[in-house]
Amino acid sequence: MTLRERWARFRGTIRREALEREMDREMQFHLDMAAQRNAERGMRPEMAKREAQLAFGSREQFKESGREAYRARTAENVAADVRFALRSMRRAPAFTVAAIVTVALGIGASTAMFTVVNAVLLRPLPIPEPDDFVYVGWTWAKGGDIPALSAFQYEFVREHGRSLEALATYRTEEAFVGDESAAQPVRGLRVAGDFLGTVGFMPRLGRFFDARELQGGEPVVMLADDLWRTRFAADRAILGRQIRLGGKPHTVVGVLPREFRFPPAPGNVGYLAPLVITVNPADEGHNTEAIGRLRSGLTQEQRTDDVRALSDAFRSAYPPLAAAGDGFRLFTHSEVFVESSRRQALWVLFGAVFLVLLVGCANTAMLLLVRASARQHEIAVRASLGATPRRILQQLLTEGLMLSLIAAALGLALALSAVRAFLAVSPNALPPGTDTGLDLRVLGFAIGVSVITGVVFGLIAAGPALGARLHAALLGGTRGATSGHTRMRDAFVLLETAVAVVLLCGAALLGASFARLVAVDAGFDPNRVVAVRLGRLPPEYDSARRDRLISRLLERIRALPGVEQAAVAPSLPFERGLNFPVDVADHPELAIGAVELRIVSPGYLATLGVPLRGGRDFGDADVSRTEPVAIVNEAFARHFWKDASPLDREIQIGHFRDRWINPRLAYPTRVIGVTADIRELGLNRAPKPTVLLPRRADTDGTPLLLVRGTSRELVNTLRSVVVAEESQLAPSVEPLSAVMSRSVAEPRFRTLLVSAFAGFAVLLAGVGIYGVIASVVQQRRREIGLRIALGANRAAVVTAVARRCLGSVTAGALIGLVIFWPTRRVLSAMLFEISPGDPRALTLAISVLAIVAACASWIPARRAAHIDPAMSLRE
Amino acid sequence: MSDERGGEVIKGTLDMIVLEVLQQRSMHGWGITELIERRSDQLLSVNQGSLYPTLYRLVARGWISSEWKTSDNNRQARFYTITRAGRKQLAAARAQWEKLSRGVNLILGGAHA
Repeated sequence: MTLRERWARFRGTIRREALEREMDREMQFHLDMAAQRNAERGMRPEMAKREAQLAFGSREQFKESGREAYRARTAENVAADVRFALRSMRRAPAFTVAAIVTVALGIGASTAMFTVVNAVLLRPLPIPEPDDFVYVGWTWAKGGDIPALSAFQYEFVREHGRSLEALATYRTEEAFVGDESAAQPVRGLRVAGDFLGTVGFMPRLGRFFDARELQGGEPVVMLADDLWRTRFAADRAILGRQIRLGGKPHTVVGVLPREFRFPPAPGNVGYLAPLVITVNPADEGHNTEAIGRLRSGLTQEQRTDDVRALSDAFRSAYPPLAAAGDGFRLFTHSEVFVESSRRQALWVLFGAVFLVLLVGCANTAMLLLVRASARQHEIAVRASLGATPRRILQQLLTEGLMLSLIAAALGLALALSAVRAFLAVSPNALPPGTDTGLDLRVLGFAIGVSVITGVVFGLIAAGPALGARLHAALLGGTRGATSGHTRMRDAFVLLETAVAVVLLCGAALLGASFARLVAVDAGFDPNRVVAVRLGRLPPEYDSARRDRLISRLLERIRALPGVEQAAVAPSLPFERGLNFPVDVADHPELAIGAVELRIVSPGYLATLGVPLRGGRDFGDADVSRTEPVAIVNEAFARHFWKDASPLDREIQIGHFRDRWINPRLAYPTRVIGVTADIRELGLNRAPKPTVLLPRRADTDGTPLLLVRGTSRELVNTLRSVVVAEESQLAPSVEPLSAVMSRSVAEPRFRTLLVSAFAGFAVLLAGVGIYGVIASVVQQRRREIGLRIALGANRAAVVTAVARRCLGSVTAGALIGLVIFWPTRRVLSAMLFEISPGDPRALTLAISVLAIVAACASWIPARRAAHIDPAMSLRE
Repeated sequence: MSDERGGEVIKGTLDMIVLEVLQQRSMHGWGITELIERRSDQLLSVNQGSLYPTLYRLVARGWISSEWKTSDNNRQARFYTITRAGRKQLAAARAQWEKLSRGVNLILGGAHA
């Protein structure tokens, strides 16, 4: 029992005892007095006493009824209030439905948005001590950073990182587990270092890999709990047994715990196997994703100091590998996976949805006011019948709360499906490892919002009905109190207009921005190109066998009916590609640290539909011949040679600051062609200097196939061609247009969402304006009728009435613009080629509002013009 | 007061009578009993105690309030006072009562005349 409960019980006991005592004393007094009177009338004392008791009746029974009267008071009132609230809701179904739907939409949308914000930005990762889990990356003094290390840097951090308790790296892969007849390959992780310790878990069974196994000793594997249950029937004797992984026998050394989660690659991790890292100081590619666990209890300063010391040590040990100011950097999960622009976008959406909730509440408050004026007489009568102001307030609060709690329940259900819709429309809006379940914080948010709304509603409805106005309402009908209501409703119209303008401005800008984004000419035609990802090749494939497979596939694909071109590419447009430093011998100061490098087969340009501006495409001779040749894009040519022709010039790929990255590749390359610039990094990103190289036989990595064709069945045909050639492959085939559409999924989603919010807000504002004017018309029926009877022009009547809201709408629009002005800057991060103060977009927003406001006031105003004086004057 | 014979009319009537009595001045339970007995010898002659649950109920409704004071014979007694809400209730109840009794009179009186 808490102290408070004790106190409450104690006070209750005291009160009950006091009640008993008082009743006893009071009844005893009565009996004594009665006995005294009987004695005065001449009865003997005992007789007088007995008569008094007889006349009084059963004392215990009356005491019991007395207790009941007190007890029932509280409970009875609450029950009566709830019953009354339900009854009055049933009596006004249109009002109730409108109010509940409005608030439910507001609560649902804001709860859904809060769920996403909570999941992405607030909720900790689902691993032990998530604050100590970090990504180790690299930052350059000249700008830029990357949450990955070179293998050499990784080894350095592993040896010298003092504040890191554990460090590991990983790579995802897919392989068949068990016999090859299993239908689907399983996703797993190749890991190096103290992986399990870094993520923060202990094996459920067995152990993690030992040092020798991690160095590439006997092949071993750890199974995930799920895979262990489904494929191996949770057999504890599996430890030490050999299973096949990717066609090779591996010894099972352990099983992961059921709660194992790996935030960077969440979902279905089926197994862990060792990853052997080859360290080469000359390989500076940041291709090792380093994750680490900090020693617990470190302050932020200690972390920063340790990282700085580590960077200093690295620079002084390997001066050629790091310039002054370059160094290591720790990243958090959300820094790696949620770009700052996206984080901002989430807050903006959250703000927008909160505005919607605000408008919803304002509208409902307005509805309640209308109801309150209608009920003013009822309330006045109840007050006159002896209901205390507190009692009336309590009852109105109950009504407000009931309304908002029903709305909250609906809103929560709505929120659940809204989150699902959010995920469906925007599949890559969330970073990996995000749990979007409704948690207590979200639930608390929803309930808090609805309770506050309910109380506010109750007070708003009660306010004018109580206090000084009560008297006026009773004596003077409804006039006096109603003018107060009207003023309050004007304020609500102003608020709603302001919010609607803010949202409309945002929606107009995002819409215009998105229209420009999708209208951008990517520089190539993605509509008839299909991309084929081969997936992971079976382990028995070496590079020679792989290249034979690719040539055979290209040959067969080119022979397919409807196929015009097919080529090999290292990566897809709109997805991440390879970077390399490049310079030219006579202009070392123009060197570029990161040029986009594409190693492609002849026909790549024709397949994508990228026009050649000069020179020629690669031919088969370039693939076999030893002379190194390259094709560059116009951005590259402009950067190094301005307007002069780049043809036959020499560039140095992998040369940067007087140093060759890889001494084996220390030779100049001749430019044989120039292509148009294409927006392959994303529609919203300007083309970067790009170099194409011919793909030779021993190039690393499994490439993609790009196929240009007209057949509609191309996707399915291509899949079956690949599987027919090598049945172990699980290729993923999709049109390039799908890849492109995915790359703009987020801006599209944001635009849709904000537009929906704005539409909702402007609709509510319209309803609000309509309500005010309609009630003005209703109140002034007699006056308007009189005017018309006296010959007033009907058009003048319409104007006079419609003008009623002009002031609040204009003021609201101005306030909306003023509120919008500072948020512009936040918005600009989400805009593409449009200024956040774009006058056309803002004009559009204001016009939409003006049209809605005009329609909303015209309908009731027209009714005013059709008032029949003969009718209205008789009322 | 579920045991009370005579149903709603009597119950409501007792409320009204108590309020009426208290409207003139504050009084303790015994005083109310005496006053009512003096005015009508029927109503409370059997169960004087049934006055008390009525008083408690009126207190719970906020129509009367109570206070311990010294009585005429120098004993502590609980005095009841009518509240503003009580006065309003009395007015409303009286109007209701008059309407009712007019109706009853119309029917009963009309039958005799």
